[in-house]
Amino acid sequence: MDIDAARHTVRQSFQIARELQSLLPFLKERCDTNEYRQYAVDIAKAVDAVSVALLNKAIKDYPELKDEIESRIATYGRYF
Amino acid sequence: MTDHAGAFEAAQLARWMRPDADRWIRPDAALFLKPGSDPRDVFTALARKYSPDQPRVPAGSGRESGQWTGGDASGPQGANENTLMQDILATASNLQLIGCPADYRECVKLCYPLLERFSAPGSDRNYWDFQKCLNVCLKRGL
Repeated sequence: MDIDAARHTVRQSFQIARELQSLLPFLKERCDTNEYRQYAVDIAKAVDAVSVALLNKAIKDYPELKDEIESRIATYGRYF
Repeated sequence: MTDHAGAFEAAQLARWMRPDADRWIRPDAALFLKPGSDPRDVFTALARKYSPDQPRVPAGSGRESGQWTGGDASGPQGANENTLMQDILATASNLQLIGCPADYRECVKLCYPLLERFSAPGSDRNYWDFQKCLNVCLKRGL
C-alpha cells in the first residue's frame, strides 16, 4: 500500500468512527443509564476494532502519518 | 467625523460573538478557501481560540493549575476536557496489565468517556484521543 492509499484508509476509519460516535448522544437520550453504558462500551470496542484493522496498520506502515493526523486535528479539528 | 456605524457594528459583533465561536466553524472550512490561505485569517474566531492573556490559575495550585479561571464561556469546559484527557492517560499508562480480555475491557471502560466529550460536528478529536488512550493503556507501542 502506498502512502496515499494509507491516507485514504485513515480518512475512512475516521469517518466510520464519527458515525459510530454520533450514536452515543442519540442512545443517551433514549436508554436508561445501565443500558446506555453497555452500548457506549460496545460502541467503543467497535471503534477500536476499526482502528486496529485500519488506522493502526496505516500508522505502523507510515509512522509520519501520526504527526500529520495530529497536526491536522489540532488545526482543523479533523483529518481530511 | 466619528464612525458611529463602524463602532456600533464592532460593539454588536463583540456582544453577539460567542467566546467559543470556533466550535461553529466547519472543521473542513479550509476546503472552501483559496488554496494556500490560512483559515485563521478568514475566520477570526479560530484565531481567538487561544490567548496567552486569558486568566488562569497560577502554577503550584494543585490539579487546578493552568486552568481557565473565568471570563470565557468555553474555558472551564475546555480545561475540564484537557484535565479529563490527562487524568485518563495518566491512569492508562500506570495500569499493570497482563493482556487478558478483562484488561481490554478495563481499558475500554477507562477510555470511552473521551468519545462522549462535546465536540464540533465532524470533529475527529475525540476518536483520536480515544485511540491514543487505548494505545497507551494496552501498551500497543503506537
